[in-house]
Amino acid sequence: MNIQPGKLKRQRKSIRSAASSLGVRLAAVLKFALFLGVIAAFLNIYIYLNQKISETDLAIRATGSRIDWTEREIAQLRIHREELSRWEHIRVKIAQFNLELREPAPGQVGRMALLSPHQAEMVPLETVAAVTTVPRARTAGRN
Amino acid sequence: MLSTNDKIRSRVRLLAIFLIPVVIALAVRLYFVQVVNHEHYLEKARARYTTTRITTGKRGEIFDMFGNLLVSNAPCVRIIADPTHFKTDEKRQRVAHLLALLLPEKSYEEYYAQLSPVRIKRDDKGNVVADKDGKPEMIPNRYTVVARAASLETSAQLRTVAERSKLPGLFYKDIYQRTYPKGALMSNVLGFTNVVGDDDVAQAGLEKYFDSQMTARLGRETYERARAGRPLLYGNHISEEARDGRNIYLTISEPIQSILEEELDASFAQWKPVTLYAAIVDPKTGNVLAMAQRPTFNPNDRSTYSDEAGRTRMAEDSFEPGSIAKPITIGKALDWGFVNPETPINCEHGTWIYLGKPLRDSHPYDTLTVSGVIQKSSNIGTAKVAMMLGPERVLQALRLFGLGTKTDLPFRTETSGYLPGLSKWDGLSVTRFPIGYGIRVTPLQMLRAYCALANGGRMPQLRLVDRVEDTVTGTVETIPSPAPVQLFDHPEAHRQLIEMMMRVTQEGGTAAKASIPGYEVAGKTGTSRKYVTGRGYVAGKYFASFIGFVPARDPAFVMLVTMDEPTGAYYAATVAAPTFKRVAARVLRHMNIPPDPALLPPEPPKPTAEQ
Repeated sequence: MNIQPGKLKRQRKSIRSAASSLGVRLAAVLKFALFLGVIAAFLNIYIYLNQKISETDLAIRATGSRIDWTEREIAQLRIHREELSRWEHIRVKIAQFNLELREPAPGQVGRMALLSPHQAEMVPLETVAAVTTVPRARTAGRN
Repeated sequence: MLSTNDKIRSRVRLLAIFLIPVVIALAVRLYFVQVVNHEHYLEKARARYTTTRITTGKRGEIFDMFGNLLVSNAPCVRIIADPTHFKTDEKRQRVAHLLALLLPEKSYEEYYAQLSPVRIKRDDKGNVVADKDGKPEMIPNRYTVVARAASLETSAQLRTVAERSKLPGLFYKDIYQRTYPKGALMSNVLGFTNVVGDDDVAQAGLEKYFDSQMTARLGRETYERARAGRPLLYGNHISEEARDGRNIYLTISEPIQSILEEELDASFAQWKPVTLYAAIVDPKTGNVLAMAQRPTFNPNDRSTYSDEAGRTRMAEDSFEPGSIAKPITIGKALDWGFVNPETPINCEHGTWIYLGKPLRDSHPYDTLTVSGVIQKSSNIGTAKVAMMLGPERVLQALRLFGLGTKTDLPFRTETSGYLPGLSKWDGLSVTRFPIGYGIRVTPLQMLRAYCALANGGRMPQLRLVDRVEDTVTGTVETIPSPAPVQLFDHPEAHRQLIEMMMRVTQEGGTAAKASIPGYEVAGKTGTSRKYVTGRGYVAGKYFASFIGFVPARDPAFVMLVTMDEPTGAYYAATVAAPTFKRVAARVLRHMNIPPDPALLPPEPPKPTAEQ
């Protein structure tokens, strides 16, 4: 048997290199797959976030519409309150319920001062509930 | 003979010869589309999915001094139908039924007709467009307003039912409608707007005067839209916010205005004048606290409107003031030292012939002091005092008190009255103008003049608008008022005049019916014959006025009441003075001004147990 050690060496080397190149390739494929996986994951996250943003945007718009609607209802109620505070309306109600109210005489008008918590702390306790009966300024006061 | 390979090669070549130019052409085309004409096609694409939405702000509101709402914008919904959405007649019927049920302003038949899928074509002028056969041309009916301003509740109900019943073709537009929560209160001053298209167009009053300030600025939102119409998250979005109009705060006090209007209603019913107007002014600041007239109208109900009811008479109408003008000339005669309160004046026993023309007093008096001339309202006495001054000084006095000059309150229609220059005076003018004949003034001018008397001789600028609020920035601009003009050189003369005017409302004066227990009232009656253009002074037609201030020594307000052609009685002391008294008494209570106990009549003794 004519064994040629050099040839054997070459064969072994080529087997080794083939095995190593397969490993390298496998590793590369794995790396690439991992890379793709990461990209896919990012894409999924990106899509998920976009979807969330879109849903949130929709929710914001729906809430905005509800706020608009509520504001419009408040505006309507405010006008209704003003209609009810019209003297003509009050006069009719006084007559309707036979309340026999009359306007206060000067000096009978008492005004309560509403204080802020800070102001209230500064006022002695015994005077907090005091009602002033001084004549109010001629042009002050609301209806 | 060609081998198979050669055949394939030749086919490939042929294909290449054909495909390469095509690919090159496509590449060139691609280059032109993507590079050279990129912007052009991008714009075209954008135009398809870019939309512009016009947004509207709210028109400014009007408040009284204390923030009570007088004019506002009621939120409501415009309901529009596109009848081409109703694929079957059954759906059209169901929508018509639904509308008739929830919006009963129209009947089912009317709604059904309105929801016709086709309509007659009209040109821009509203004329019917005919087709070739001369018949009206029919076009798809894609837009019809079924409710111009439905309430929020009704529209919400309609929307819910329509969605649940799967009835398409109804669209809802949020709008605001001008509303006047206090009804007819002050309507002649506030004015009104009309709706033209989607806009409020100011027609009269403060609405018109402050239109540019109160008008909202339109907003514009341009965005790239998704299929459903919503803006794309990452698309271009250009937004210019709509801007609400400015709010106007008047010097008016709503409670005082309400008192005045209520009492005017009573007087209007009692004396049935053609017109009746009154105003209340704070003499220290010139702030108009209330201003009302009858007849009037409710701006929420246009059927109550008429041209006569809609005018702002306090500013537009001028009239011969009669005796309420007398204190002006006499006041300046006192101030310039021509007379004093005790100077005797010969009143000619009620009739004085001057330059061949008689001048009469309502009651005959022989001699009156200057104080008596005011108290008894003697025409002859006033004319003689005026003659002491001479025409130049009389004119100077009348002008000094602002007669013939606009008050510059925010009324486009304000007139300046008529006070002619000396060149137009005749010999009688000096005896007639000081007693309020031959000149014409607006009620506002008389109020301004009396503010000077009530304010220690200082004439303020009248104010109706206190401040303007910018609702966007929150800034408040107070309307400045110039300093009052001092009209009296001698405070003593002013004091004497006030004393004389206080006697008018006391026992023996012409207007005892204007006195208020517990308060000193200074004032003056004026009954003048009515001058009608082309007919002269008309018999039996009078202006009856009372103007005064209270408390006389520290006035809280000046008030003028004028009736045009009252029926049943015409003397100002009978018709105008009691109205003044009723209003003034209530306003004093409202302002919390206590009566002077010394001036109150003694209380009747209480019955004892034995009695």
